[in-house]
Amino acid sequence: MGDRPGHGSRDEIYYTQIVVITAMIVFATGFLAAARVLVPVAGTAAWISVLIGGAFGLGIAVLAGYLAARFPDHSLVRMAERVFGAPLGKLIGLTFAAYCTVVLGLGSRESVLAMWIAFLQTTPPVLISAVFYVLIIYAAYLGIEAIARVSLIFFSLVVASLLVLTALASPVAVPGRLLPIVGNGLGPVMRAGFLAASYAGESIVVLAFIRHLKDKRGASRAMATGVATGMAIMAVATGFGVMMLGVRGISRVTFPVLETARMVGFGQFLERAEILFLALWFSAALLKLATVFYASITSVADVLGLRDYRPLIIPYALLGAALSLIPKTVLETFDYLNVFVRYSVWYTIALPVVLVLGAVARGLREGGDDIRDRDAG
Amino acid sequence: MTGMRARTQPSVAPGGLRFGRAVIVLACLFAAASLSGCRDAREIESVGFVLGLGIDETADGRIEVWAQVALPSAKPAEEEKQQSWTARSVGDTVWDAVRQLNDRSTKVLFRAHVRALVFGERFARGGVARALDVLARDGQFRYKSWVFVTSDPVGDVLGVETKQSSSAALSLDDLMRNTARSSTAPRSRFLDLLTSIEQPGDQPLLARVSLVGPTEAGGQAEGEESTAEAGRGQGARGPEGPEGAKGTPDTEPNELRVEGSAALCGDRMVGWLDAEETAMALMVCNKLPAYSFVMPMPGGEGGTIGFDMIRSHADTLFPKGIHTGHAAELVTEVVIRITGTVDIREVLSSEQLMSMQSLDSLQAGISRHLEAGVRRLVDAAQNRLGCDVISIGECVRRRVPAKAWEEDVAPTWHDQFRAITIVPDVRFTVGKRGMTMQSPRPVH
Repeated sequence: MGDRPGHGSRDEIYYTQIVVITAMIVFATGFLAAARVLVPVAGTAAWISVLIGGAFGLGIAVLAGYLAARFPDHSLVRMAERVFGAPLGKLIGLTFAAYCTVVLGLGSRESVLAMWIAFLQTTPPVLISAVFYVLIIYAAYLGIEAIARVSLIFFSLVVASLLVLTALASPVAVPGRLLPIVGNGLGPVMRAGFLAASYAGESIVVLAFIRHLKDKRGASRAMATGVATGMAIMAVATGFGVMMLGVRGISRVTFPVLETARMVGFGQFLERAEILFLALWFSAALLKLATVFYASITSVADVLGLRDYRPLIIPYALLGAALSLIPKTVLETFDYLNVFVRYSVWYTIALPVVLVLGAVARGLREGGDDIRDRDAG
Repeated sequence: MTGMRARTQPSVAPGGLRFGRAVIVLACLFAAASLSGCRDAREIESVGFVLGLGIDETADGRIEVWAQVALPSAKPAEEEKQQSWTARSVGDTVWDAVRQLNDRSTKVLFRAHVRALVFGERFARGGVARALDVLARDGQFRYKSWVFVTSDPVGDVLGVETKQSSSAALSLDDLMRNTARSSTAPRSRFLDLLTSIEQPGDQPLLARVSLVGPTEAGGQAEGEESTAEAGRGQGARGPEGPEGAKGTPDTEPNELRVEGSAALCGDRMVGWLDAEETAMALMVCNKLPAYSFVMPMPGGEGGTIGFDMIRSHADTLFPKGIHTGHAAELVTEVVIRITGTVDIREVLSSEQLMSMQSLDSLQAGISRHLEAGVRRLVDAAQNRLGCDVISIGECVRRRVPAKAWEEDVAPTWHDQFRAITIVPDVRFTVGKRGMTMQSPRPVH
């Protein structure tokens, strides 16, 4: 069974773009509230737990890259179909699409809440969500190549903004608040590391479009670099949050990174500059959500055997927007997020492991197609 | 081939394309009209920019809130117009009072530019947490706003008309930026208050603001008092601050002075620290950017000598260690080792410090002088205030497992703090002595 030619197959993305997309998927929405999830568990060592989670993520990235090298022209659904046959492969594809949909729903809800609570208090969240989804729809319509190109531009700006924020935050930060270095102890730090791994694990979304990478030999390295970059950003954000707000402060606030941004300013002439940072961060979140949305609809299109994913865009966007509105309150949203962070890591580890083990067991050799398929082609 | 089909959408008819474009253009026009914010826009004249907030408690336990609102002039002709307006309301809670202020104001009160938050002493002694919740939830409120406590009527403090600034809140903002040069008051921001009340080992000090008469503010009336104060830090006037516990000036007050601090235990104020004690507390906590003081010339020559402290560093040492697992005897002895450098700014003495021996004697004298100041602070913290305002607990917290701190130590830290033996060990050296080696003197 060879890969069927399909949607956006002419799109090409490059090594750096995969690095950037992976990094954005890892940190763009999670870092808004990751510290609030991790600090109560790990205490002052929450930033270390993020790095431990990053180590888990590197493993996932290496496995994903291995799959990409083994099945260079396959999307995730096609890989699964090839390894386990069509019925089971489609089922795995559906679970992947469901995972992406949950990431999309929770990510968009979290971003919308951050904008709504902190800035657009009189704007109905449905309207903010609608604007988000209109932009996501447009991005998905343009395809992964366009998303990757725009991501490359915005990622540089986001990193620059974070560097500026770090520099401005340094006078306010109290490094001693990171002590004791082991926080609540090794056990809790490892447990928090496992929670943090769920953010790194979101990098498996890249499997949906890794086949567009021009040179598959760099897939593992690109994804691993992206995961490392994303988790490093998250570790810095968490560490500075603790240094500025303390353990109790972090555990109390709604969005630690927003609070951190509120505390800094450019001297006296430009106060309350957090909106400048947030505009960039929400652009990053938007691009992440567009990527996840693209991964969702292309996976569903693969499962349904559609040649083009575009007819699915509008219905799926409506579904995603509806899902994102299920949590009625902030508390409910964070409850869903906590459950997701706690359990999704298992899926993100299991998916590449199962596919790699299946491929090895089936003896599918590197290059993806065996001799019989190639002859048939 | 299929991929090309997917990208180019050849099946779409030209008529459909035109219709699609028309829909997009109409959608953009609709969005521009409805999402641009013009529908419910507020003109700047209708916004009341709150520069200062004051909160106090009435005798019957109700909450008073003052808001000082800027009244910007639209054109130069209106320069003579009142530049700020201070409103007061009373409610059962801070939010209740703020709500009533909003109802009474003809402008929409916008709290993103609050420069100064002034707590009355009665309110601070009752617990400032009653105000923190509403302010921390407020997305508009600035975390970098200065926080003060005053023993004077809050309304009078915010009502002071100064010649240097257009409102009391802006004047306080300027004063706080300038106190960094002398550090007779902590640079207490709302952010610091929020983070420190949650840590029993790192209790907040809030700057004290007082009303003073023009002569006091100008420093003209000190005269003999200044001589009597030789040996004290800048502006020190006794443990209860500039005007004593009541803080009522004799002359009609029309200036603000930021000096000394209010010590909080948790969220409740437990007492005042004078300017010198405040400076010593900041020095022990490594938060003292600058400090100037005058002391008697060591030795028998008489006269005084003035300094600028240009550098100091404090280390908190635990010579007998920290014993986790025995909460009652966690820490028994603490040594606060402070090193630093001072520059000579004024010598009014026949001793001109021209020998190494005299310089050594001076350095020992400075160290003794500052050590005595730290001892007074420690005594005040342990006995008068009963609260760890010198962050010993924070040093302990950093050295013990988080669980041990949270469960065993933090709940009883204030009691333990009072029983600790705290030994200051101060070693200062003299740095620069200025552009002249000796005082210019007439020949007799």
